[in-house]
Amino acid sequence: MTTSTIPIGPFHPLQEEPELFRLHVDGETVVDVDVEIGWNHRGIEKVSEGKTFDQVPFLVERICGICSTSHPIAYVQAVEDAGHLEVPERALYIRSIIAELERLHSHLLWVGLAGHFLGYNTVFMWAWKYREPVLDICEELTGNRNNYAMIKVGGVRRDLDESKFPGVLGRLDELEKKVKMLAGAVTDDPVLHARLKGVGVLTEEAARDYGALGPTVRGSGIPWDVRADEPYAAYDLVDWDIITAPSCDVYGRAVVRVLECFESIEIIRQCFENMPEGDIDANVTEIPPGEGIGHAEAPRGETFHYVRSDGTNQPVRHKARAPTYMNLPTCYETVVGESVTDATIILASVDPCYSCTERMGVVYDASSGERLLDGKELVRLSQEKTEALRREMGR
Amino acid sequence: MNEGFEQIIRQNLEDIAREIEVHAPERIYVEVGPDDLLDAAGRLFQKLGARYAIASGTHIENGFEVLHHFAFDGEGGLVSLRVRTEEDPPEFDSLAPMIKGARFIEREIHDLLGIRFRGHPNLTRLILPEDWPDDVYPLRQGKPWEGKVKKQI
Repeated sequence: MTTSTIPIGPFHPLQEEPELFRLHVDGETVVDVDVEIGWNHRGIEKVSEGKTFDQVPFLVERICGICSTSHPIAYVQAVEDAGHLEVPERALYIRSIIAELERLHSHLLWVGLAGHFLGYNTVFMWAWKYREPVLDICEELTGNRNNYAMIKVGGVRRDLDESKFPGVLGRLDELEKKVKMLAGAVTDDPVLHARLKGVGVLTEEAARDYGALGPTVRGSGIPWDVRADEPYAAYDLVDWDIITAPSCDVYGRAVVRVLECFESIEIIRQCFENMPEGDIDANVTEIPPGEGIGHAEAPRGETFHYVRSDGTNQPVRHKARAPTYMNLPTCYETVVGESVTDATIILASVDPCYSCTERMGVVYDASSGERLLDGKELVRLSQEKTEALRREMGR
Repeated sequence: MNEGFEQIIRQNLEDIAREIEVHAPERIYVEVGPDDLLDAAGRLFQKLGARYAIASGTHIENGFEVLHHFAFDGEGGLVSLRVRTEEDPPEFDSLAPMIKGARFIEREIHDLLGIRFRGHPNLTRLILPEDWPDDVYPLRQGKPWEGKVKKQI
């Protein structure tokens, strides 16, 4: 058998972030696959060891732009676990609201991208149009469309303005109708059935073996969801269902994501209604020595943070594991045996978020110990480039 | 929280555990000797059906420590298997032949901390570039790269 190799990446128009997949193909069929990560490792675990416990949430928020609140939630839960800290109930509700808004816009983003990868750009246009009001709601409630900076150890940083809730609820009702239409379009469309059903099969056994997470594992019929298994924030105080699909294929993963949007909307409604008055912050002043683990259900699966404290104001070890780290290797099972055309949607079906998967790299001069590029320098370079582009375009 | 969770873990691991620390009802740390690691992991993963969450390696004062975190989703708890060594270079048995989900993280820990995993099917670089010097492990304490990395931009 003669095989040829098709590289996808490390820099490829299909991918938002760098990653290298090598598809070994025999004709149109993929017979083997290699994954190479590490093209965008930012050293966040190492950087974190030099930050105070209160600064780290800002850092881990930047692990992922899309699920930017799941990392801080998992991190503060790890610190709260290390110090056996209690969090005020109102803060728990606020954490849930932000996390669910994030899940909503993240799932809609994926539905759009999936449509795009299939060459079905109508779905892409719809999903991204409906995603926009969710980002507006985020901005209205937190002050930002993304990277909300709401989470802190012992509570949340800002309270929500309840006078905005009726307007938000109105827009969520609108959104629910639109997503229903979208759900109908996805689940009934014969073209999508043909492209998604029976493609990229991840059996229940393989999903367990790889430790797959989130919609990837729930699309294989396994009801793993941290929100239900070990309820954090306000998830044990509201009613909602775990969504699973038994089909084990890309279609199952798509259905799980679309249906979870309705659950998210329902959770947000109940949180608005049940939210008690009171403090939003436990005003933590000291983290005792010890270790703690926090995990939270991000849109893509479980985010896992391990923190070790020695009694000072900085962590001595901080391990962050994003869900894609466990989901990406499932491609060894799902892509092999499929056609090249289907490989893109299968690789995309875990909703990969590459940069979250990798974190490191500092540039020092070995002889003088001088730092050659630091954060401020990079920001300045980026601003200069933007200015130059603006001038070029005559704005 | 399932009351019996701690009981189940104690029953299954007591005979090989060096120490069982119940940090919280749903957070149990079990320290085992490096020789018992595979046995303990097998009991959690194969017998009790736990999910392999991740491992975390740490450079501690006298040696190295690896924590393998197992999630019990039905019970809602986490069990972390702790192994320590004072050897340098540090080496542990690999869980990757038993658990496919451990392949990536063991390669990452090997890259960043220089801990070797005996029996790993493919212990090659994962995070660091191919031309990274062999004896520089960025996540070790202190300044592990000092005097070893040349100026390159």
